[in-house]
Amino acid sequence: MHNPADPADLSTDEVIREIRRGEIEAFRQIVVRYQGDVLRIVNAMLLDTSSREDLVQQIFVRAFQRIDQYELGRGFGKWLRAIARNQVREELRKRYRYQGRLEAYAQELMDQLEADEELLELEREWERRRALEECLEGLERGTNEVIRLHYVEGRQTDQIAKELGRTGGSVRTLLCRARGHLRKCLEAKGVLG
Amino acid sequence: MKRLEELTQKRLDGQLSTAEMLELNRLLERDPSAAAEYRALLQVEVALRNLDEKFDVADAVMAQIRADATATVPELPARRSKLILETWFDRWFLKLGVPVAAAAGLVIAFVLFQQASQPSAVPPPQRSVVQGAKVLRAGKLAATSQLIPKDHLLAESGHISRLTYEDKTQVRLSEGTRLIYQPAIEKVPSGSKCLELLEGRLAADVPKQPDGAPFILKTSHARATVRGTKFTLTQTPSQTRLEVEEGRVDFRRSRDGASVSVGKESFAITSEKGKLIVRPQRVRDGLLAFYTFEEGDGSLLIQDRSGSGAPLDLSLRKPGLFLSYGSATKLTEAIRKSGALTLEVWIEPTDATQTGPARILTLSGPGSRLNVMLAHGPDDKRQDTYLSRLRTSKDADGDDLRTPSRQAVTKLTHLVFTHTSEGASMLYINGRRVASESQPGSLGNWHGDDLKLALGGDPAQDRLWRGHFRLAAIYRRALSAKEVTRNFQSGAAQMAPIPPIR
Repeated sequence: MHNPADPADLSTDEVIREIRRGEIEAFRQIVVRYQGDVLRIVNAMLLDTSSREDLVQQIFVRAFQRIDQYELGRGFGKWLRAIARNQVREELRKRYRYQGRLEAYAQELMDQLEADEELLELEREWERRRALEECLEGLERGTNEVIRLHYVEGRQTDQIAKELGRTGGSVRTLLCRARGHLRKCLEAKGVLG
Repeated sequence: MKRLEELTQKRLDGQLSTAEMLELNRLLERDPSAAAEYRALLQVEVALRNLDEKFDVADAVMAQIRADATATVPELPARRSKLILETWFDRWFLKLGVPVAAAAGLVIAFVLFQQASQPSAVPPPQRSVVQGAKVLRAGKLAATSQLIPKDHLLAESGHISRLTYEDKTQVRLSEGTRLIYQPAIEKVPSGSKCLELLEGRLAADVPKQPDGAPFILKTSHARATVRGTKFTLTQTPSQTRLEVEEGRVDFRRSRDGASVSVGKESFAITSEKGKLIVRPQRVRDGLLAFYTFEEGDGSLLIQDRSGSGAPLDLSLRKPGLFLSYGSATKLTEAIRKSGALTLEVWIEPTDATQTGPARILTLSGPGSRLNVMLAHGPDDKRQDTYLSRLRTSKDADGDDLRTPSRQAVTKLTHLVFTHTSEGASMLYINGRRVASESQPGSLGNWHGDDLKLALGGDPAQDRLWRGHFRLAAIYRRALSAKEVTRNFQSGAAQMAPIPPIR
C-alpha cells in the first residue's frame, strides 16, 4: 500500500507524482510553493486588485486539471507560468478589448516579465524590489503607512481614509504623489527599464 | 504631466471612463515622453503590488478542486442495484400481499394518466455527461455530471463546457450559455435527444441519428431538427441563428411553422417578427480583420471581430474617420508574407461623385506612406468611379486600378479588391468583376510598423469619404471570384463570424 509522505518534504516532481496517484490534497503544497510567482504575473496586468485573487485561483485550478500534461523533469515552475501567462492574456483580451494602447502597455509589461523570467531568472525583479524597499524608506512616515495599508494589507483607498480620518481624495492624492516620488527614486537607481 | 498622472491613477484604480480612456490613449500616442512616464508609473505599481506577502489562495483553490472532484457522482454497480431491488421486493411486495399491490397499481395508473394529459419531459435517449457547467435540478445546484430530464445547465466561465452522449454526439457550450436538457416540449419523438437553448451559443458534432429519432434543438424562435451534422446554434433575445458546417439541418420558425433546409456552409436567421433568411456563410479562411457597423450605431469604438490574432480595434477620431489603435502590424506582416490580399467593404456613399481620391479604406502612415487603399473618385476631378492603389516592388508610389465610370451610386454597394501573389489584381462590385489588371512585383517593400488602418479617410491627409459603412473585412489572401460572390450573397447585415467554441 502506498503511504504518502508529507508533501512539504518532497520535491515538486515528487509532489506531482503523489497528486497523480490520487492524493489531491498534495496539490496544496504546489499552491503554497508557487502562488507568489503566479501573483507576480497577475500583478503585471494591473487589474483592479479585487479580481486578482480569483484569477490566481483559476490559474491553479486549471493547472490541476491539466496536471497529467506536465512532463516530469521539465521544470514545473516554467510550465505553470506558461499556463498563468496564457490565462492572464485571455483575461486581458476580455477586459481591455476596447482599451487599445493601454492594453499594449500592459502586454508590454507582461512580455518584459516573461523576458525577465527566461533570461535573467528573476534577478531584475529582486533588484527592483530591493531598490523599492530602499526608496520606501525615504518616504515620510505617513505616506509609507498609506502605501503599506494599500499594497501590503490590501485595503481600498476609502477604507484607509476612514481608518486614518482623512478624505478618500486626500489618500488618493497622497498615493499619486508617492508613486511619482518612487518612480523618480527607482529611475535614479536604474532599475526601471 | 499632471493630467497624465490623474488619468494613470484612475486607470490603476479601474475608474477610467470611455472618454478618459480615449484621452489617455491620445496623450500616449502624441507624446513619447508621456508614454515613457506612463510605462514607468506602471512598473512602479507592479513593484508595489508585489510587496503583498500575505496573499494566500491555497484554501480557496483546494476547496474548488475538492468541489470539482465530488461533482462526478460514481455510478452504482449493476449488481448492487439488483440487490436493492430484490430486497425491496422481498420486504414489501411479498409480505403485504396482493391487496396492497392492487392498490399500488391503481395509484400508478392514476399518476400515468395525469402525466399523459400534460407535455412530459422527454426521456433521456442515452446516458449523457456534462463537464464544466453548473447543473440546476429543480432549481437547486446539483453536484453531478450525470443528467436527467429537465436539468438546467449553465456553462461557466473559465471552463470547457461540454455535453457528451453515449453515441459520441458532442455539444460544446460557449461561456454563459443556458439550456435545458430533455425539456418538456411537445412533438419530440421517443428516443430523440432534445435540448432547449435559452441563451447563448452551442456548437454540436452529431453522428448519424437513428431513423425517426432526430436530435431536436429548440429556441424561443425556432426548432432545428438534426439527423447527423456539424453546426452552431446561437440564441439572443432578438433572434436565433443556425450555421451549418457539414450536412443539412431542418430549421423551422416557431411562429408560423415556416421551414427551410439549411445546407453546408450556409446560415439561417429568424426572429420573433422578422423574415426567415437562409444565406451562404461568409468566407473565413485567411480573414485578418472584420468590422461591422450596425445601423444607427454611433459607437466610438469598432471592434475587430475576426478572431484572428490580437484584435485591431478602430476608434472614431473625427466624424467619418475611423482609425486603428496602434499600428496595423498584424495586417502588414501577414500580407507582406503572403504577397496577396483582399479588401472588402459594404458601403453606402452619400454622394455618387467624390474627389481626392476620397479614402474608403487605407493602410497608410505619416508622410504620405501608403501600402494599399480603396478609394472613390480619382485625384482632383469629381467622378463616380472606385479605385484601388497598391504599393509593390515594381511601383513604390502605388499602382492604380479603376472601375469604369458610373459604378458608384448612392445605394448599398459591395466593393472588393483582390490581389494574388502572382500579381493579378481585380475589383468587384456587387459580386461582379468590373476591372482587372496585372500589378507585378512583390509586396516585400511594404512599409512597416507605424502604418495604421483607416476607414473613411487618411490619417495624415484627411481626404474624407462621404458615406456610411456597413461592413469591412481584410484577408491575407486573394478571394476567388466564387468566394467574392459568396460574400456578396451573404449580405451586409452580418453577425460577427463566430470563433470556434473550445
